[in-house]
Amino acid sequence: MSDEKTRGFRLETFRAVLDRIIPADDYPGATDCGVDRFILALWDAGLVADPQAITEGLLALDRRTEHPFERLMPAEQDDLLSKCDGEAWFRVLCELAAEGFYADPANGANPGAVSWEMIGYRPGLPEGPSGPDKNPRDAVRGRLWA
Amino acid sequence: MKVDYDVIIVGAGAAGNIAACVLSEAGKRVLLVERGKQRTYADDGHRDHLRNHRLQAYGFNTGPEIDGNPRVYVGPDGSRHVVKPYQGAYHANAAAIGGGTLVYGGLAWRFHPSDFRMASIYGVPEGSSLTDWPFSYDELEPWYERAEHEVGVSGSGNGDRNAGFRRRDYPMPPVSDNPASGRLRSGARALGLSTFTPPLLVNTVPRAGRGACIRCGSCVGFPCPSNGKNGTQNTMLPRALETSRCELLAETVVEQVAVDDSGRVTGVYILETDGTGHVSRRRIHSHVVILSAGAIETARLMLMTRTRREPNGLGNNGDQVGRNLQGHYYPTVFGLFDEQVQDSNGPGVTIATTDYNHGNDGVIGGAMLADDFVMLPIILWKSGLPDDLPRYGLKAKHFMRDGFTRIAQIKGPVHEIPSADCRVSLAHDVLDKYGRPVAQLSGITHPETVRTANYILEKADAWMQAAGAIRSWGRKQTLRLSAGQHQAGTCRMGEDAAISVTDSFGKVWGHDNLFVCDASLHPTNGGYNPVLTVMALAFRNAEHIASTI
Repeated sequence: MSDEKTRGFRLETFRAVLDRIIPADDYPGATDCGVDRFILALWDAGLVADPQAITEGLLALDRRTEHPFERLMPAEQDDLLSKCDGEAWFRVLCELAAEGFYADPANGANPGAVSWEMIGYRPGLPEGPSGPDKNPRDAVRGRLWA
Repeated sequence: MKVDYDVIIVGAGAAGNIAACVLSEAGKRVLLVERGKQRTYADDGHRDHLRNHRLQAYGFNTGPEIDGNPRVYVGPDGSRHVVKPYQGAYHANAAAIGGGTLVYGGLAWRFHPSDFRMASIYGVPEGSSLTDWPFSYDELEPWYERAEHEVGVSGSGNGDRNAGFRRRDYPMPPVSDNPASGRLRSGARALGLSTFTPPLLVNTVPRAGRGACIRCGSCVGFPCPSNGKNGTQNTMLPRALETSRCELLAETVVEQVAVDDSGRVTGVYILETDGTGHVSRRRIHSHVVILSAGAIETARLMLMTRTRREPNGLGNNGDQVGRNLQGHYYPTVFGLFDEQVQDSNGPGVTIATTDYNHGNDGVIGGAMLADDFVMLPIILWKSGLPDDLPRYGLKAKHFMRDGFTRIAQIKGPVHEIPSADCRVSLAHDVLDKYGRPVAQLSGITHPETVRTANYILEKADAWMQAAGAIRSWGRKQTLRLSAGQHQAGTCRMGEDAAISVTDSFGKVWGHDNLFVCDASLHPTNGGYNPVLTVMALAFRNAEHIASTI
């Protein structure tokens, strides 16, 4: 994981936004599951389409508030985010969050397949939710830690 | 000149492995060359929901390698894009031993008898290259039977009232229902539609030394955990290797077809990489060369092999190689029910109708409609949510929570109306890691395809509503290039050398020992998943080749 200083946006805002994209309720939310780390790993691998747009979107969000975004009440956060609905960067961030949250546990952001338990998806593989844990031959095409 | 093999086959996929088996069992010495790797469930890494052949967000679980194998995609506006294998515009087919059959869902359709006579039935729309096949359904019937029995299909032989004549039932009983089947069946009944359980290349009972399907929730896109999914890599290829007359050269790229000074095919050049990364080429001789590399790469190999006699590529003096690229549009309707319709028991396809394949009002051709494989959760999120649902907040989370098990799908592959402008050509300014020009994909499907696709979308929606969905949604289809995993048509067979690339056995016009054997041959691609037709053609054409050399 990269040093915080190299980011062009505030990680606190980033994480707080993710937790409104997938809020905790009876089931955990985005950062409880590591969705922030999942996205940053993709980011660092150069696999996020148009990262600059996300950076600018997060910075613009910060400029709209007097107080740091993460300290606002959830209702205020949601109100601000509803104004971003329809903006490309926000749509991309929602999709990245969903990728981490709803993909297999071995992708790093669905611990214990908790999102699958929530929705009722049963993977049905003999080795558990992520299937075989070994890959003795070589890596899957395009694979990275995430 | 020492001739090393009777036959060299390029590509160990749906067709190549069958050709290798038929020819080696007929006593021929066969070399089978495949650029992809041998992969199995156990050594394919974790069940990666983001990198597979159903969702290629960042890669996939077979080949080709992400780096060094680009293609060029030309958009409808003429803009050129260099694309990587996992990107949609690449139109990838799995590169692995078994090709797409390693990871497919295995829907095992025979084409409809009318699918072989599209131009005769519907006429030729202006601007399209719609045509009949050079033979009828009856010609292929015995070979469909061989594919069903030797590769292994489950199904109900008398279930489909629209199907062509068949002499023999399937060798295995059909897959079981899931909670959606009953709802969809009663909806179909209300509309007067005939339904049945679709045929699948999946063991519903143990067969041929391998187990039955264990009904996991991630079938299509992945290798099978019980090896009960019948690809060519676990059925026909082992038979070929048992003869000791077939050699398999995996992870090996065929650079181009080898020819002598007169332009006659003499074998292939393969590329070999040594321990230091140095690449060298080696010529291997054979009496016959069969190209089974898929509709894009087969055409590319033909175009890359240039001779004095054929300066624009093998078989291409009539400018036909690479044209008529086609695949399938897939109109899809989602339906939300008030009770559970999804129990995650795979494969998931349980009910189909072929009533809309032909005889539709005001459109050309049609499509088979069926429910779908168990959807990965992230695929529902990415492509199945209603347009008006927010993608953030508790609304989105709760829709996933409450909806996943209550959503069913109806979808189907639309018989494309081909266009000669949809084509594979060579991008001479973009090279692969071996310095060869890459495939360039361009053109847009004929607009009649979109009309049919949107007609089918309405029919699917009506079926979903009749089944009792409290809400249904789907996307209108729009004009685009279509190829993908069902890619076909680029070396069309025919009776007239001026408007086709091969004769009706896949022999390339102007050559007596160069054959194409894959979906490239399909003059049109049917309103069904095409793999059983690829397989049946491979049996037929390989037997023909065996009898003539």
